[in-house]
Amino acid sequence: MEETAALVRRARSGDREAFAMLVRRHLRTAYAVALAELRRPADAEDAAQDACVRAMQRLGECDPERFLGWFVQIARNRARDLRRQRRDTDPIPEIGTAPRERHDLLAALEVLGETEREVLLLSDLEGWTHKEIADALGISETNSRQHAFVARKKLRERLSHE
Amino acid sequence: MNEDKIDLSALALDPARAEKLAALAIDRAWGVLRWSRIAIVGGALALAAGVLLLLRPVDSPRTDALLLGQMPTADDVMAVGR
Repeated sequence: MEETAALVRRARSGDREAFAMLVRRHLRTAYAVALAELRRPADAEDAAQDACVRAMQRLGECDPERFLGWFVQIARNRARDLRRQRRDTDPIPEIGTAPRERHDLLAALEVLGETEREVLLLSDLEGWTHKEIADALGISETNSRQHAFVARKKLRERLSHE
Repeated sequence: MNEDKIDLSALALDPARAEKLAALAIDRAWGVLRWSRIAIVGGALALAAGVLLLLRPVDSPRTDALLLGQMPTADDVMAVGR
């Protein structure tokens, strides 16, 4: 698979194929980060799409070697903007619109801190390594492991009570 | 430290949905970029035309006529020779 940094360079020079590959490769990352922030799948989809558009429009501002961290920051900011716009809405989706398991997981994510949610979703949903998470979130690898450990413990406790 | 992951697959983005969102994002972002490039090129051309107008010889009716897209008259041609 072509390196992300090489794709960023190609996309910056106007290569539409590289541009499309970058979006396809990282949309799920944006979704995971937005879901950690918003806890509403439909809003996380909107935020992920917007984050991809913004990132691609500003690709010239990014260091190709640090693309992921830069992209995660854009996704997080976009999700926060969306959360501020929709402040009046309940973060947990109505039970009628989501399968029970999904609803329970989303509700259980409430007990986690923001970084714990991001680390958990990138690790256990997206399958990232702690090295990748540490680089993208700007934390140490040990810190990433600790967040994941605490998040899993809290989540299991919460889910066992339901 | 325990790395016994939790199954979060119920939260995963459906692949077909992900593809649809990606396609929309690509179209939106590429569309905006294309228009901004067109605007940049258009702006550069307008700037160049403005510079040419400013730098044109002051007493040159023929240059004026050409810039305005008009054929020079016989008097214009004579004026250039003078």
